[in-house]
Amino acid sequence: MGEDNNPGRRDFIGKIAAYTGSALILGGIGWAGTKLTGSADSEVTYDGKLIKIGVVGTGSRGNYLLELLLSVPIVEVVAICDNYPPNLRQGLEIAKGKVRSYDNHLVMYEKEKLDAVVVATPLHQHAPVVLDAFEAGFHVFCEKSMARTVDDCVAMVKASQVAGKVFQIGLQRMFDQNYLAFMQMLKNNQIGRVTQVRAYWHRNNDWRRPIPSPELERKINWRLYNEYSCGLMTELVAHHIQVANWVLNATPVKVMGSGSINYWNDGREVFDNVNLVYEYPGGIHLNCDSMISNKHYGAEVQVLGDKGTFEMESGLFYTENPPPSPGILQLINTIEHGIFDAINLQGTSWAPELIIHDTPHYINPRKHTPDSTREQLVAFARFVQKGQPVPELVKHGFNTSVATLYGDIAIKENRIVTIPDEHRM
Amino acid sequence: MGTAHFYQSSFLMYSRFELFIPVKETVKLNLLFQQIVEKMGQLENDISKYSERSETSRLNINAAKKPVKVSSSFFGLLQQCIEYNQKTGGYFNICAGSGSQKDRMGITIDKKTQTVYYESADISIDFGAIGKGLAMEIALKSLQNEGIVQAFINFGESSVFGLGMHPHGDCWPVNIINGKNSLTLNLNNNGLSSSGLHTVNDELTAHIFDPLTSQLVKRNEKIVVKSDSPVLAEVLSTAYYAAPDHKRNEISYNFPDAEIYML
Repeated sequence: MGEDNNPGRRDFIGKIAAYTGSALILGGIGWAGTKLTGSADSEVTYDGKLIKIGVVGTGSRGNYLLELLLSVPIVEVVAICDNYPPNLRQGLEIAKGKVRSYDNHLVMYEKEKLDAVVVATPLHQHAPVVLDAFEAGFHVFCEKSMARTVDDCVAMVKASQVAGKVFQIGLQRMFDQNYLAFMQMLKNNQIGRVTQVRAYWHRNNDWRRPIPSPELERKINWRLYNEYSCGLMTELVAHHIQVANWVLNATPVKVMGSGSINYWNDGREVFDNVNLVYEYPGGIHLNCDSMISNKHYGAEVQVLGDKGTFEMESGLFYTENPPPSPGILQLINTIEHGIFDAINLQGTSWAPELIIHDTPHYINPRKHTPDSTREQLVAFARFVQKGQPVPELVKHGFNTSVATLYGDIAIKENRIVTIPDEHRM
Repeated sequence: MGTAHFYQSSFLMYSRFELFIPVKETVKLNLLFQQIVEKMGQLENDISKYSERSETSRLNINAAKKPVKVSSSFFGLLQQCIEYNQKTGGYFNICAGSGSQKDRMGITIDKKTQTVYYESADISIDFGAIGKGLAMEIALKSLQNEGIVQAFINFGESSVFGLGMHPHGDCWPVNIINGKNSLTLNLNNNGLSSSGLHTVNDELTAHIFDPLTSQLVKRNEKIVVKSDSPVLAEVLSTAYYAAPDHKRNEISYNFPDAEIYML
């Protein structure tokens, strides 16, 4: 489990790197005869046609994706769709009115000659919108999590396989240059054997959006209601489950946990704090939690190996046993060779500027890395251009979403839930 | 486990503490190292001004308003520092602030009540010039209590101690380097501490103040003190570096057992 020499994982990292131009890891990667450097689409010339995309769901996330899509040279956003007029108006504004607009995705699918759709509707609508898209012959990018129920996730994956189309879930850390660098380090055994992953995501806000009238409460604040969302699980924890699956190259076999509403007692149904333990094969655990009443610690994924530690959100890497200082190294070497000789010391007295902590290493000395949310969209467009589904991406999307949903069951029913084998790709 | 020698390091007092023992690594030694690190960490928690809950921080916040009672061990440490201050002519001084200049530290201690009072509002205490020496003493004591007679300690490369002999010779020889100058000292149950300029972004930078004038000392030299007491080595290397030439003989005179070198 977690074999760094797993050919599937190597190839997957390679494919991701190729489509995002992650020169940090694999050097210049040729694609379509063009060397890629820096961000996914810098210095690239394209020999394919523009990808025509429709965006379904132009709420806050959808409009952010729309903005990013409009900046991708190989993409042409031709249409947007939302059944809430203010969202649709905002989308039109972002697109400067240069797209056609719809309030019904089926009408859009019928009228537009699309290559692909980008789905950013509320979670419970992912399944119907995506299934209809595969039916219409489109490739699909769908925001995470995949769907509100496990059955819907299964149906969506099957539909993508039958349609033979690209199906990508919005788990952008798979396209993040820092994360990709970490995965390469993992492959190089730099932190040794991983025996635990810890993750947390803490915010301090009520998650509410203003509503113009009371009857729109459930429509606009869908994240707060069980019918439409699993709250913190599907919105935040899902990302960390994806990372843990990726790092461990496995999916969890069982999950336990507890959640509650202990702060935002405002009529919401979803928990305002969730706390879980996922067990992976080999007895390795992911401990994760999320809350929205304190933001002090922010978000972090800690990967603990017997030779070192990653803090993936911060981009830091620590060794368990840093090598000796030069003077001591010299001492050890001379002693081992039976030599009696002086060692060199150059240090001066301690000064505040020389403070060192448990020295972390920044895994990417560049101050700026490309926006991974954009990188994933560029990659999606390229996969669509190639017309080739990427099964690993489907697997990640499915496994992440299913583990998230089973975690939600565990905390709501207050029991240890075993994830069935047929729900682990 | 099972290497031909024992080596471990830990980050303490914002520096790296390294312990080398020329014997095979064992579980017992690993446990001993952990105990040493815990004790040193406890000291740091007690005296570091960067630790919010230390007695130092408590004093720095409150002692200008009224006398503050401190623990016996902390009080003892203050007494020790006052003595060093007197014997170095004021050039070792754990206090900073306008009230701590010329010939006084700027604090009043009461042995009977075990309290400390700052004589002006801008006084603050910082054990940075002695802290590593105190920590080294803890480490040495722990090693000696366990019957370890040979070891080499490197604390941030500026404070080192050679316990016993090198496995292949009768001492632990160390080259101290300052630019093109170097000095070789042989350590056998003694250590050394060095003070001077340090390098930041390839530039030599001063960080030690003359306590009597509050001016940064910018001499481009390194003072190295060899002593069987790591605390004394640290105290003297700082004081000697901070002191002007005409005051240095007085300091040497008061500490005849310490060897002071200038590079």
